[in-house]
Amino acid sequence: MGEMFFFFFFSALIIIGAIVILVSTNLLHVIFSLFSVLLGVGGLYALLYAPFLLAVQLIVYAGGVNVLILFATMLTKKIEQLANSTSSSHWRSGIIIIAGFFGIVLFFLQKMAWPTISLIPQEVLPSVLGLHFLQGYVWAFELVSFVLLAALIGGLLLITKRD
Amino acid sequence: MTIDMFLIVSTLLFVLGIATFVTKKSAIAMLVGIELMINAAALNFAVFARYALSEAVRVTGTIWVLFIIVVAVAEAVVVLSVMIYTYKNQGTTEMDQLTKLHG
Repeated sequence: MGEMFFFFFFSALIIIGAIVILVSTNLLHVIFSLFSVLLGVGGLYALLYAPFLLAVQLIVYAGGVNVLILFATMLTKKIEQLANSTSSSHWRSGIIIIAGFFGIVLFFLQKMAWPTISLIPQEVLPSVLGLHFLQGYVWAFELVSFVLLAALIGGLLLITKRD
Repeated sequence: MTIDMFLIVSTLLFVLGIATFVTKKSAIAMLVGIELMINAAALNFAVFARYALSEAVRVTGTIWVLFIIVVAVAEAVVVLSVMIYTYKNQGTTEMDQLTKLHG
């Protein structure tokens, strides 16, 4: 009962935030609405019995990526350019894309017979995740860390001054 | 709070991300659209991890959400550094003013 309320609350955060991102012309409004979307997705992770994912989402995504985008906005725009800086050109094609894709997926969603029984919902403990990172998924873990390192080094190399 | 309610939310988020990516002129707004799409996909993984029918699928879904978040961070870093470099060279990050292929 309370879960339904929180589900609709977080879904409203997500959908209203995404609509503001789509419609708004102010770039700062877009970035702060992204913050609302990330909070809403984190809340849905908590409802899906994954509080560790909520923590990672808030720390890394909302507190990392969003702040990074804000800094890049501050570095690449002058302050008087921000108020009217993102316009939606071709918004009609945007609405056609939304309606078409969503209609197709909704059609197939309501055709599916979802299984009505499921396991007892329990969170996957971070200790179990850590064991899997070092036992079964160790290749993917190392590769992803390497990708992140390469991306950071490449990004720094691209924007430092070279004499 | 059945599974299809979660899937409708994630599909709607994905579709709004596509529309944001397609209709915006500013490169940073396009990056925000990409982040919306990535979050929708990660939410899908988390939904199927919760409504899984075996413990292995539940663990796999959660681990893949973490990988998606790390890859999204790396991609945001690369896109933003390219954007800063473009701003230094061309003076703008609007997609309709970046028309020269070789500066």
